[in-house]
Amino acid sequence: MQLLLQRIFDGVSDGAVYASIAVALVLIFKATTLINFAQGEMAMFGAFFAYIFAVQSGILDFLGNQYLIIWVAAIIAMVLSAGVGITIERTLTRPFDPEDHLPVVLITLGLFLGINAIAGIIWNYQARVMPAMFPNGSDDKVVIFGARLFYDTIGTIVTLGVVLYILFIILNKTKMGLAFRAVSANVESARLVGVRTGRVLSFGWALASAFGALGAVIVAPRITLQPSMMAAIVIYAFAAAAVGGLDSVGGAAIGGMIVGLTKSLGNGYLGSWHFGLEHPPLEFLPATPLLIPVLILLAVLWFKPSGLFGTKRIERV
Amino acid sequence: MFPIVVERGSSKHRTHMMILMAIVLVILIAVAFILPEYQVGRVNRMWAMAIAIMGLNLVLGYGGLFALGHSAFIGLGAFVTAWLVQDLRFDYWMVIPFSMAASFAFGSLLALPALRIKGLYLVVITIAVAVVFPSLAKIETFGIAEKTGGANGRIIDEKVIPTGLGKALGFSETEPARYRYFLIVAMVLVVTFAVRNLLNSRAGRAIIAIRDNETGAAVSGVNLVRQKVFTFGTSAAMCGLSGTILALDKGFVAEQDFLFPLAVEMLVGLVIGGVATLGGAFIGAFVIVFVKEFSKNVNIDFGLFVLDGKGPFSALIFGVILVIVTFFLPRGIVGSLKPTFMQRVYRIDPKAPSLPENLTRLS
Repeated sequence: MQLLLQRIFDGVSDGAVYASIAVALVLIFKATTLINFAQGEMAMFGAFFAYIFAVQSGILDFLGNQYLIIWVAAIIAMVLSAGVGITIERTLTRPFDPEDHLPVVLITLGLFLGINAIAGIIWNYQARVMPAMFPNGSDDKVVIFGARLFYDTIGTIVTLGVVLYILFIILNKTKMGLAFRAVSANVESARLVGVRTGRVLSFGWALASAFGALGAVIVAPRITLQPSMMAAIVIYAFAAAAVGGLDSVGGAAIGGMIVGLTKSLGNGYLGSWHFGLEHPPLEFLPATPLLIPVLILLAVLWFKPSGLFGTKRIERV
Repeated sequence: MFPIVVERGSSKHRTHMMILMAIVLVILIAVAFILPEYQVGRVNRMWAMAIAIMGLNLVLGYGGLFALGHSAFIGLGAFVTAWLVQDLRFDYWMVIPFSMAASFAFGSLLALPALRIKGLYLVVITIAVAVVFPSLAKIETFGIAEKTGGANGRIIDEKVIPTGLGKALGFSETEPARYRYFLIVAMVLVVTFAVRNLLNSRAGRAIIAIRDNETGAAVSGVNLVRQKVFTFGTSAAMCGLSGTILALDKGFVAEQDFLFPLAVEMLVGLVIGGVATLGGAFIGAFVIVFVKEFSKNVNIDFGLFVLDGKGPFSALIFGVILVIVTFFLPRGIVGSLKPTFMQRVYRIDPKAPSLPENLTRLS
């Protein structure tokens, strides 16, 4: 019971981070029907913005009140990342037809390589300690049936919930949100009824980049800040987005949880299974945490090729 | 003078093709003797990458299936090679059918999800496979890690060095790269002609038909399942061959050599050369091997930061290349130059076959 609960907590904690990046991927997919392979790297850049503002500028040492400063830094990072997102959308992806997958995949893969390399050249690959957004000492926890639930986890989940709620409000109650949904349903029709589609696309990228950056700022204290920090996360986020359906925001959040939980539970239980063999084959294996979400991804997409909550693509012959 | 009009299949056309092939052969042979030994080793790596890129091209360029996980097939080919040569004491040439068969099987397996999963979802799946694969090589059970070398990599003792016939032809044992060069070039030529013929055959036309219009192809009698599995498998088998060549040429396999970035490099090579062109693979392979070597030797101090071979400089170049090529050369070098060349220099205009004498044309 204790172990199960512990693994669920761990899974949810990771899942919330995957979900935040997956939501960013889905926002961009909804706006422009492309997968932004550079999402993780853009988020990493955002985390560096926050680090520069909070730590390198010396503000944190000077004032000392860490959580507020980090939150302010995170918001600044989100705004800057949104700017970066708009710039990239406007200059690099707008000229291409998103229905033709190859060029846009190449552009975002190129960005993925380029952004990572630039960060590596500027900041090296040495790990930096990022101050946490929530209390994350070894005592900052609630013990439920012997399982440790850290404030960090609670904070991450609450933040994700708030972010999703804000997103829901933006998409469903504002004029921009209405335009966004119109564009994601049908670009041509939206343009014909007078929606300024270009602005909507920029808006989608801005939202996505901002939320991605927030996810990176939240996760950076756990895994230390460095240019390749997102490599281990973004692949789960892709899986999460695909499991949930690439065009469903709620699906991305649920997909993130599914991936986080299967990773934690699968690794915990299957990792120590012997399968009647001498050694447990999957024990302490770097592949195991990834292998199980990948199998889940395969299984989900096999039965529902557009993910659990995605819109089915209907092709006219 | 221009355009030169040559009829396809005429004796003039044949002469031109013969001259062209002779020039290519002379260049191929000359390269091995002009370049120093260590450079020939790099050229060998380039040939191996060219085969792999041709394999990727089959699925992505001609088949229109967006798969990005081909580094796993190269890795499988290399690991199978290491295992067979090292543990089972196979001769190196006997390894090739086995490594190709293993990769073919793995590729066909991956083709099954591709039957249902389309577009960007397929990209995600294949990336996931490429990311998982290297760590699968480290599994301790079933002696997998022992066979692949696990995290430390594995040395292949049995080197490809000139023996009997090779020695008789004048290759020395101290310069094995030069000897390997000719073996590899022979394989490259065979693979290139095989792919060319495949694309001109019934199967190749079916592959392209599926890319252009899946429903249309199915209606015209193409067996989609069989054709897709075959395409994926063949493509994977070519990558497996490439893995064998890489392993035997380097004499060492390690899972770090088959990470996801290798798949991205192949994609970079493919798009520089030209998607859905045969010759593009060679230009692409040349560019990626050249860029990697070039970026290793760069050392520029910008004060704030240093650009040198240890850093991610080659990744930066690849990223910039991807963006620039997509913007300014969307069909790649070969894809952009070939139509211009064909218009200005060559106009192939085959004559319609004449009717047999006992038939008269209606109308």
